[in-house]
Amino acid sequence: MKTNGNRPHRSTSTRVLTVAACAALLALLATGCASTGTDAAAASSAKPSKASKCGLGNGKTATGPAIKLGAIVSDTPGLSFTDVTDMANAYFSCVNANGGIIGRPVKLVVEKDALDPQLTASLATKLIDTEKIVGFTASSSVLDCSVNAKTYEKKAVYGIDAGLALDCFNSPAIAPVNVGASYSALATAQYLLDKGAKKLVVFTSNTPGSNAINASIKELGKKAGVPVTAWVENVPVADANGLALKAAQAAGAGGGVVVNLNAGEALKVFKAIEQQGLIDQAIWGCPAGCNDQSMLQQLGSAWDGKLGVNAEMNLASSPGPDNQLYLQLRRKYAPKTQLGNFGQLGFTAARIAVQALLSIKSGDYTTATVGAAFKGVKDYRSDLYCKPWYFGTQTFHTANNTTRTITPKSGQWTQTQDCSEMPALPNNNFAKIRAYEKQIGLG
Amino acid sequence: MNVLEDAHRTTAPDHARHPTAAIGHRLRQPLSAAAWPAAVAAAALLLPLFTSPYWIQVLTAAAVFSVAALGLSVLYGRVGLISLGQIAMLAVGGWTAERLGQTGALPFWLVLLATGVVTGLIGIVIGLPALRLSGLYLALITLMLAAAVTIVLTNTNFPNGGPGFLGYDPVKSGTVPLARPAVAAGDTAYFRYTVVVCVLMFLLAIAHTRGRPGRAWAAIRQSEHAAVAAGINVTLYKLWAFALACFMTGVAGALLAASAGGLTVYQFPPQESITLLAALLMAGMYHFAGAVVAGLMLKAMPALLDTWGVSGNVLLIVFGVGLVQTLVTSPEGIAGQMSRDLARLGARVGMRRTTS
Repeated sequence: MKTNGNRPHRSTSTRVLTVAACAALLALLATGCASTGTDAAAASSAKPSKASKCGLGNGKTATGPAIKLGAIVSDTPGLSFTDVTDMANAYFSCVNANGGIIGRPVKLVVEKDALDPQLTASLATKLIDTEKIVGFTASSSVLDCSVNAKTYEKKAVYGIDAGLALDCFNSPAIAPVNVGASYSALATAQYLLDKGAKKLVVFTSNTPGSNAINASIKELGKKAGVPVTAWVENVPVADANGLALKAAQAAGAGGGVVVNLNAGEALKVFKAIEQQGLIDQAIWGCPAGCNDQSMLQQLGSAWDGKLGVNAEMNLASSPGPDNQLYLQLRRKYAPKTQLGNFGQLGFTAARIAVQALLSIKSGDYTTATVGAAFKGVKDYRSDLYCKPWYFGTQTFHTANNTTRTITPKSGQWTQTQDCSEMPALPNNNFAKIRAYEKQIGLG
Repeated sequence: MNVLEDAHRTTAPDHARHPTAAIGHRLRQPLSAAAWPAAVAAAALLLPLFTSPYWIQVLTAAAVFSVAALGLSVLYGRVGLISLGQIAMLAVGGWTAERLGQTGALPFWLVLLATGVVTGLIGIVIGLPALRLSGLYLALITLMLAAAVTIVLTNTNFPNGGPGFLGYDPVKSGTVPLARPAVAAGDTAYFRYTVVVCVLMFLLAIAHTRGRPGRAWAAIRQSEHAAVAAGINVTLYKLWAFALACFMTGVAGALLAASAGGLTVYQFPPQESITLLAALLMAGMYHFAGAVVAGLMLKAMPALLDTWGVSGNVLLIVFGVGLVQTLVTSPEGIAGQMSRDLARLGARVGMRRTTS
């Protein structure tokens, strides 16, 4: 009996140990598996909502001929936006597993371009004339809009994309789901002014249109009565230490600096700022390109609360249903994508496109019907956005014109400024855009 | 003797190493050199009937790059001068054409010609170091010049309708292509226009190699000292070769400027000239048809791989392996091999007819 009495005791402790060991092992595995921007980083103190559903959400696999959408995405060493198309594809996979578009699957034909305008132009021709796509979704190319916007307008092929160049925001055929590099830099400068910057400094990577970005910030400074120093910087940055010092000196006491470079180059500058002890000499800001999980991991605690990064979408740790679906789909279909901004943009573009396709009741999916459906998107609401998104009938589109600002804190991005409107200036369209929004009942 | 000179002398086919053999070869087959571009032109004019608009654009780019390869073929294949600045010269041609075209005062054909003249003159300047240098040193100098061109273009950008000498408006975004001629406004018509201009460039190169410059170049390639002893003005003919190569490449740059999309500095990285050299060596440095094959390898093959779902980056590996194979087993390259095989086939067919 004694023996019997002891056995259950030993057995229980063994089981407890086994369970503890398994839990530890699972925790280790989970840590090991989540190498690319863990969802742990997206953990939120708020209780997450139930994830939104994909498309019809009926669990039936879509069959039949696919409805083809196209995307052109830049993918060159050091400059890749494939997270956008990968997450768009993830959403389409989920939609296809949940009834598709009234039973038909959606196929996203992705073409990768480099920085060669001839290639970008030929890929658009290939998608439209050879692949017979009916619209564009989640395109994210450095050159696509500059090179192809007129072709899209002429051929009446519409796109819900993640625009990079300013041309993406000034085409009647393209409605970006994001803010874009130019307006994001402007929003960053506005954040620095809100933080009390007495002077603005901006340096932008030397690419076509970079002077337009600087001009926009100069206009903002003029409106706010704050002096602005702006220059274009050749990339890759040859002397990050010198650049950091130059920026800090230009800002002077109480100045704000917009580091308008891509994440990799910006990180070099931030490291140089840190090494030279310049962090507290100015208020530092970076546009949406810095909203990157790898950037967060490499910045370190020295930058906690010291860097304002413009966020085109809500935090990846936010509890809303759309963000929860994004996190689920990323885990299931695109675990290699970085957690955050670019993936969220691709997911959102695909989600809006599916909503538009589902609105076509005739079952006839052509460039004309899909174009009309895209243009008809109005009042698309999502917890990833500050306010509803719409396509609109104007020749310029920036429906996402109210953004947040985030900052690193204890290894996570945290919100430092809530949804704020992009400043309307004489050299941008925000005054007209807001008037239009009032007109369609979204203002 | 440096490495490149050594490679050149050991890999060049018989008629490239011995000018007299080349002359004899040409005498036996007087039309063979002209037959290639003629065949390509005929095929190109018919191609649009059977292919998609996408491939038309791809083949337009291939045609342009075949002229850039032709320039290199003249310099290295005929004179033995190595230049790694051809892609930079393509960019200079594009810039010049866009700037000239922006005025709107010149017809397109005159823009092409004026661009060629400008780049030809630049070619003479670039050729000056070649009077004293050759092989690896010349390659390095031309590569450095290409890097310098890239740096200058990074700061000046391509003209986009702005004011001043540079014609660049910094606030305006996007690329602005050179306006096409009225007769070639569409992609198919422009492809045909490009092919016609490219054929003219090939005929120009052929005319040179068949005339006095060709004989002088062959002599210089064989031995500069012997050429001087034979009374050849080496300075003149070396600079002539650079001027011709840069003229043709400049015209190609102008054609590129008017193709879809315009120009950006990113599409002309200095290292692209090395890829061009590798492709041309594989395609056939010593045959003008090799330049056509090189253009197709550089522009049509990535598109083909993409159609098959293979990344275009694989091409660099293919080029690397192919280059080793070419240098070891077939220095004449694809064009030389094809030419020889076709000649053999022709001979066999002829023999059968005679027998029957």
